[in-house]
Parts: sequence; C-alpha cells; structure tokens
Amino acid sequence: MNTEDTDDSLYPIAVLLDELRADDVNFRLNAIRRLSTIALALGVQRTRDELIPFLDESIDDEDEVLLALAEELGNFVEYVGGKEYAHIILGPLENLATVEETLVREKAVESLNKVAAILSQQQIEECYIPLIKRLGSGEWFTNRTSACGLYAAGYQMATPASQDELRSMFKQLSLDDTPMVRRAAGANLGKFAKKIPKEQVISDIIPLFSKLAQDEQDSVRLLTVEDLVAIAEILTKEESKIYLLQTLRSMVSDKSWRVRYMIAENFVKIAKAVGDEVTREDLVLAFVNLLKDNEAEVRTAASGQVPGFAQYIDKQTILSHILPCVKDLVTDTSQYVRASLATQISGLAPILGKEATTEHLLPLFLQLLKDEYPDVRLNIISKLEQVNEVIGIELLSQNLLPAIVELAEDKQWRVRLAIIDYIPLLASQLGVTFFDEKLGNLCMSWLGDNVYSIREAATVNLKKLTEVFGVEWAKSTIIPKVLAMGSHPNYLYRMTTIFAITTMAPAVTPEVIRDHILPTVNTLVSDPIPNIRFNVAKSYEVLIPVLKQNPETGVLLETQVKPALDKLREDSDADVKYFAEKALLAGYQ
Amino acid sequence: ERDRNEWEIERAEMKARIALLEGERRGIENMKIDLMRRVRMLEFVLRQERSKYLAGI
Repeated sequence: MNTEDTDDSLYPIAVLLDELRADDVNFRLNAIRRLSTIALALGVQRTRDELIPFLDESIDDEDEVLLALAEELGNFVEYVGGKEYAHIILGPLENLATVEETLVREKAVESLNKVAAILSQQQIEECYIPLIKRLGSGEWFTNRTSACGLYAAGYQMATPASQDELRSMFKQLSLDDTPMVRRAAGANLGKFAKKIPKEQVISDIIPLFSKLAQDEQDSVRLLTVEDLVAIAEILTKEESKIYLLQTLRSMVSDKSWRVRYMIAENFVKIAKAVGDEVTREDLVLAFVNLLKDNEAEVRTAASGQVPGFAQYIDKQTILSHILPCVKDLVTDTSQYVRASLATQISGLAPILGKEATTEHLLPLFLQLLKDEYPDVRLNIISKLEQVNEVIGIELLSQNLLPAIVELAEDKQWRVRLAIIDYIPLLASQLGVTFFDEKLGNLCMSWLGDNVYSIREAATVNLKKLTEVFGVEWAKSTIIPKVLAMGSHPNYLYRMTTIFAITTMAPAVTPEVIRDHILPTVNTLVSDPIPNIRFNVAKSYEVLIPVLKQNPETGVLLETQVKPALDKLREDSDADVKYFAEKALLAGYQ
Repeated sequence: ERDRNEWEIERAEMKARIALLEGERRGIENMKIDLMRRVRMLEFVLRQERSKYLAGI
C-alpha cells in the first residue's frame, strides 16, 4: 500500500505533530481547529488506531489549545466511523475532563454529553459508566466535579441495575467533603432528576436535595434553588407540598442573602411549579418578606417578579398584601430597586383592572415619574402602553399630563432637559391626537426657553417627532409655528428657527423644504445680525443635499440658493464669509 | 522642543506599527506553509485512495 513512502513527512500524524510543535500558540490552536482534516486524511480505521491514541497520550499544551481540542472532539463521531465506534472518543475526553482549568473541563463534559447521547446501551454499559465511575472516584476534586455533569446524559440508556448504581454514586458525590464537588452536584441535580422516574426521584433524589439545601456553604445552598424548580415540576402539587415545602420555607428565610436572592429571582417559576394552594398559603407571605428584605439586591430581584407572581394569586390578596409593599418600594432608598419596580409595575395594571389601577397604581406611577433618578422615569414612561390599554387614554392623560407639564416647567433646567428626552417615546406610546391636544404647545414653548441646551434639545426633539408622526403631520403642526418665530424681534428666537429648520431638514421631504422652509431661510439672508446670517449659510449647507434628491427641487439650487450664498460670500463679516464659502464648496462640487 | 518630542513619539509609534505588521506577515507566511503541507497531505491521501480504487476495479 505504501507506494510513496518517500513522502514520510506527509503522513497525517507527522503533519499534525509538526504543527503542534510550533512556538506560536495560535498555530497550534489552528492545527487543532482543523483536526478534522487530519482525521479525514487518515480515514476512519487509522483515525481510530492511530490518531485517537496519539491524542490520548501526547497532548500536553496550553489550556487554550486543550479547550479547542475538547470542543473538536465533541463533533468527531463521524470521523471515527459513526455511532458504533463513538465510544473511542471517550478516552481523550476523559483526560480532558480531569484538567485543572475549569473551562476545559466544562467543555469536555459538554462534549462527553454530546457523544453520550448517541451511544448504544452496550456502549454505555461498557465504556460510559466505567468512565463516570473512574472520574467519580478520582483523587482530585476536579475529576469528581466533572463526573457530576455526566450522570444525566447516560442514565436513561443504562440497564436498571446500572441505574441503581448511578444513583448511589451520585449520592456519594453530593455528600463529598469538598464544597466544589457538592456545588457541582447541586448544579446538576435538577437535570439528573428530570431523567429519573418519579418514584425514584421521591425515594432517592429528594433526600439528596434536602441535604444540599441545608449545606453549611451558602454557595451550595443557592444552587439548589434551581433544583427545587426542576423537582417541583416533576412532582404533582400534593407531592411537592409534602416533600418540598419544608425546605422551601427554610430557604426563603435563609440567613445568606445570596440564597434569598436566588429565591427572589426564581420566584415566578417556583410559584408556577408548586401550584395554587401552596402559593396562597405560603408563598404570598414569603414574597412579602422578600419585598421587605434587608438587602437591596434581594428587593430588586423580588420587585422584578411582582407582575409575574401576581398572575398566580387573586386580586384581593394582591390588594391586601402585595400592594402595600409595592407602595413602600416606590420610596425605597436604593435607586436600583425603584428602577426595577418602575419597569414591572405597569404589568400589574392588566391584572388589577381599570378601577383598582386608577385607585391604587396611578398615584404610584406619578410618584415614580417624579423620581430624581432618570432610569426610574425612563422605565415608567417606556411601559405606559400597558397602562394605557387598561384604563384608556382619557384617564391616563388626565392624571399623567399634570405631572408631565409640571416637570416640563420645572425650575431646574436639567429636569426640563430630562423630560424632553422622553417626549418622542411618550408621543409614540400615546398617539398623535393626544399629543396634538396636550403636548404640542409644550414642545413649542421649549424652543423659546432661556437656556440654550433646552432650545437645542427641543429642536432635536422636533426632528424625532417628525420621524414618529410623519412629514404630513410636521407640515401642518410644527412647521408653521417654527417659521412664525423667524420674524420674532429677539434674534435668539430667529436663530432657534434656523436651528430647528436645519435639524429637521433631513427628516422631511424636498417638497416641504421648497414650499415652506426655503422662503423663510431666504428672507433671513439679509438679517441685520451676523450670527443669523452665518447660521443661514450653515443651514443651506444642510438643505442642499436634501434638495438635490429631487430634480424638481434641484433647480432651486441654481435659482435661489446659489445667489443667496453668493451674496453672503460678499458679506462684511468674516464668519459669514467663511461659512458661505464652506456651504458653496460642500454643495457645488 | 515640543515638535521634536512629537516627532519622536510619532517615530516610535511608526516603529511599533512596522514591528506589528512584520510579525503578522511572518505569522501568515508560516500559516501558509502549514496549509500547503495540509494540501499536499490531502493530495497524497487522495492519490493513494485512487490507486486503491483503480486496483479494486
């Protein structure tokens, strides 16, 4: 067969060896990433006989390279000859699962699970289970941690006898001396339980769970929260009550805030899993306690669950138990708690219905709307739509509008600025009719504000509104008012007109510019104040590209714009000259 | 004095850039060699497979 044995160096393993000898980690990494090429060249038979043993023994490299190898091996089944030979890959992966670096081990476990999923019963019995045993009884905790992740994948394919054995081995691991292994067991308990028939979950898994849930290390205890959800999903409501309630009760009042945080974070899932009865009897009270927790983190997580949890309890309970807590949270000292609450509180409106929302929620909304922390205000405004659907625009505007107007006319210009930023969002949520009636004038009055930043923000705001409501709306509502300011005796107002025009130009059509905007700009060319004149030049610079888009309006460039700019170029003021030149250069090249 | 400093800094930056680009070039060069070897390896295997196939007929 070896007709060309002169080409020794082309022998695939030799090629790989050479590449792995490179100094640069990147090359070795690339070599491993293209390991499939080597396997392909070797063919399935020799991949099994030569490449896999080679990888088994001689790999000793940077973690990065090992990580890549662990990933590649997960997809290697077809290169060793398909399913019936898949167990061969387990060897090198086992080695990788004992490495010190966590990432490599995790990747190896992931790949092992992938391979295990396609093994036959015989392969599981002969190769996979012994592998779990070896890892599970390893001297180093790294081996045992990796083993914890492997139980779920092979379990269902194993024979009943081995299944019993697997369960007892897992038990060993969850009673391990090192917390690292107990953590891994806790993290995988839920996944493992899902593969096991219910009677055995009750007899074997639940004792383990209760044990881990009372572990002395809080890092172990907090991982059991997700197991709780997984196990509760397997059991019926009555069974969960018998077996889990005790543990759940102790968890919600755990002395470590991290455990309570996990409970708060998963509260909706827990409520769903344990069913209505337990929820009513125990969880409502627990939830109230979490909402009043000492740690702000826990309160934040709990307030995130408010509307989700409210779905599982009746309205009366919400009003009598949950709502008072929510009221307290609105004035919480932590801004994160308030921000989280502001995002979620609108979700209560559909649950409570129109009357209760108006009576109880609206005051809270208004209070949050006046919060000093911008994220809180933003969150409440961005979710207004939900409230709008429940109580209707009329009622909402009656209550909301005074608050907005008050903020919009606040003495502090920073507060006014903050509200302007939210106007486009608010407008898109509340619709055009509401806006025209109530907020339109407000937006215009900002253009005449005595702080420049407010005027600037107001012009940008107009552009955004044009994008939300469309050009037609802008033409009939905004533009006439803006243009009217062009003849105001104070030059600062005339300047605002120019600014507004310049900002809005890219958002409107060339026709609107021709019919409405350009004439006003043209008249301002001969304004007595130089500041206005050079801003006119700047505004032309922006208008030119928009006018060019349409051939009909394009002719105006020659007939109106060019003469105006030529005139400005001859101006006595240096700045006016400069900007006119600049506009000419940019527009007519 | 300031001009001189700026010039020095710029010069140092340029040098660093040149070093970086040269390193990159060397890397790519080496990678090309590796890839060529892989291609040759695959060609070799293909030739073998083909001769086996022909012998089989």
